Amino acid sequence: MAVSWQRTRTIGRTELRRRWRTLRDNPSQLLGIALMLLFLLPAVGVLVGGAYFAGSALTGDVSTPIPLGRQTAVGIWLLTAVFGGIRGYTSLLDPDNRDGLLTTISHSQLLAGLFVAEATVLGAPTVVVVAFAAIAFAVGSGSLIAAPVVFVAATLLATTGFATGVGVALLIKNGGVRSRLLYRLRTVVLVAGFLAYFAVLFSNSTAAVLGPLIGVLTPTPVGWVGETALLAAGRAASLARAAGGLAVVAGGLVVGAPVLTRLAGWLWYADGLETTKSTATPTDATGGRILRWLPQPIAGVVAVDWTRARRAPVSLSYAIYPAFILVTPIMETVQTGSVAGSFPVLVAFCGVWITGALFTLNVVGNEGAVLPATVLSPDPARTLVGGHIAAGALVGLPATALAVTVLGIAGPQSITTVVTLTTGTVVAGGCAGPIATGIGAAFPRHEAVSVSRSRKAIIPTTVAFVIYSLTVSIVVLPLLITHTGLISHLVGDILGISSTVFGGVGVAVTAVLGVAFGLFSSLYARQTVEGYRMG
Amino acid sequence: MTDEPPAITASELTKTFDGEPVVDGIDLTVEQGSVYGFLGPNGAGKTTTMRMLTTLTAPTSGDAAILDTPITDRDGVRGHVGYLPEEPPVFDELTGREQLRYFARLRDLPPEPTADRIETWIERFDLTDDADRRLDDYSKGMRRKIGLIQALLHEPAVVFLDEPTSGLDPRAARTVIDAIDALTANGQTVFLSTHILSVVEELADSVGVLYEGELVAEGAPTELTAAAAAGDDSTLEDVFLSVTTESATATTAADSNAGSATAGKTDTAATER
Repeated sequence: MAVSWQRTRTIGRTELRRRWRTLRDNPSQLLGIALMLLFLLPAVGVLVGGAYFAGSALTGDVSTPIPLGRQTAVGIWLLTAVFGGIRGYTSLLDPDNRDGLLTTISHSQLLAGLFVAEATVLGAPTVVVVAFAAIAFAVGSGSLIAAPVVFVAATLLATTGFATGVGVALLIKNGGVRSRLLYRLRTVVLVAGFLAYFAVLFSNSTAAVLGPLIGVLTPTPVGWVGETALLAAGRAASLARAAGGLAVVAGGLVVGAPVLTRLAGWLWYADGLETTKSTATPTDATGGRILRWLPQPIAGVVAVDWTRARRAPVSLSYAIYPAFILVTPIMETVQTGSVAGSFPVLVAFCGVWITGALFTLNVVGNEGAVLPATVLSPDPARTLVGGHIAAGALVGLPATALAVTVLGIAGPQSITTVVTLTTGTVVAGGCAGPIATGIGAAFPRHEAVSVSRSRKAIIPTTVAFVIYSLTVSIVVLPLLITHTGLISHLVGDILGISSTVFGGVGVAVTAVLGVAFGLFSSLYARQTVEGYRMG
Repeated sequence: MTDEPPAITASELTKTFDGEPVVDGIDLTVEQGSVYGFLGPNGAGKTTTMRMLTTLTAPTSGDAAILDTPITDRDGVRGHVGYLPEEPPVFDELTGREQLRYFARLRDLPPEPTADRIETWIERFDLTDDADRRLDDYSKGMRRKIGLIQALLHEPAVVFLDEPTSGLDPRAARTVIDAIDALTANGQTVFLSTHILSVVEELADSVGVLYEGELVAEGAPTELTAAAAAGDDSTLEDVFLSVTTESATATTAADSNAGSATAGKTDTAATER
């Protein structure tokens, strides 16, 4: 079945209609996109203004216009390649209703339709921006012909860059459905990539990372395309290289299309690895030894929580949000080579926050379709609430306590301060789970929601997460204040008490608050489970 | 005797996952204009077989063809078949009518008669009042009806139906059964996988029972019931229970006497394979 424009347009139009309806149903997502566009507007202004000034500069005394032109071309290509890779991996290559579509049309037809949808949503605005930038460049350089030349060159670079990125995503995905090792490591690799991305971003190392890559690509046809702008602006450059660059890049698109189609076919018709039975159980290793110490029903809930988290880690993605506040201190620690006094305190805060958020923020809703069976089991309140609290605490508490202790010892704090901070962290972490249970029970979510375009999971409601975050912040605040060096010394001097005593007071206040909130909240959660009625 | 090719042929069709056979060398011939009831317990390999025959999964070994078009020719096979998977392939964000029009356009069906055909099917399946509601508001049975119309819209020569009456109320199930019956009158072939044995008993011209990837019994329902050990009053359910139990026993025996028994198959009846 040949690819027809009519079918391609039909698929593209239907994809857009579906995306718009999904967006329309989700006001917060709509608001997020509106805000993102608002933030992008100044960037567009800077881009168009930059193009004007670049054009103007070419009429002056720029000593090395050829390397600059090439680097700009490579920059455009790389940026769109990275973007294409991310879009390809996260959404474009996971079409919904694949079986229905592939028994109706060919995979090449489907891919063409998806590309048209993508081109409309992302390509159309990009083309408009590129057109404005090209006109600005032409005005700046005083050469009218520069406008169409720059427009064509930039559009071609962006298109091939995007397609290359999608190609890389296809290769990675194909590897993932064929290699068991890659399949198992996918989450680790994704998280590592995510952390590396933010590390580069926050450490202002973008140029250092991209520099070598730009250096490699500058003398290639991708870089040569940049010389077309120089020629169009009337500056000396190689016509042969410019034309050759355009030809190779355009040719790459022609050659790349069947390659992408073949790769998409391999991916969509692959058997996948999910069909294989898993022999691993939560009782295989350390987890099993720990669970033997728990009452059987609670151990069952813990085991299921851990298994579900391991098989669908995306369902816990929301719990990583608090970790973002650690990015800057981590970067500072890496750059300076020393641990700041505030770092262990922040780790304590994040650790407690995450520990409570892990499995306890949706104790009722998280059961999903199993809920009717769960509420009919013996003593479901104790089992469910206790089990979810244990599942989070057994993972979060040791990790947080260890991190706080190690960083505290490595930092400038005294041993006694480290001891009180660690003690307070364990106390607060132990209370965070119970605090979360009641809040999650008051604002449950029973149905799966999209956590990415292709994945759905039952995650806690935003309201529950926000209320929990505020509550746990209030509980932990005394601990944090009393272990922050400056405040500790200041208050110690005023009241005439040692920092250890001051820290101990912080632990005590946090403990009182934590136990009070925790008891109240977990009791409410237990009552909710006990009184739960379907429908 | 006609020169028409069989609707479906399969020879030694095999699919393995991680070296373990899920479908183990099955041979099939389904004549045009007939209903083939495909039975088997959960996990027997029915869906994998259907996915191979509809080109969604490549076989590990063996051959199969739809109307003499080998399943390696995806474009060719796609034109011959309609497929209703167990989970109806519908888009939540579209309305029922939009979904059907979308797939009609993808099939390049002529607009006018197709629009009329869609309305006829919608009316026939009692979906007129809901046709402009979004599919995420539909019940499981209603989604199944839309999936079934989608599979039949282009009047395919061979229709693969995976549990078409699952989740339907008795009236809707009857409509589906009547619709399947009408397909064969129109010369179309139906490959019907279901757990509802009464449906197979009523509709099927021939029946195949799959157990642990092997076709352990095959024949006309009357032949199978007559040959079954359960006696004169036996039903297809008796046959199903009999051959799957015997196969399970044979498999267990083969496991315990590795190499000394022919596992999985039974030779208790002439029609069994």
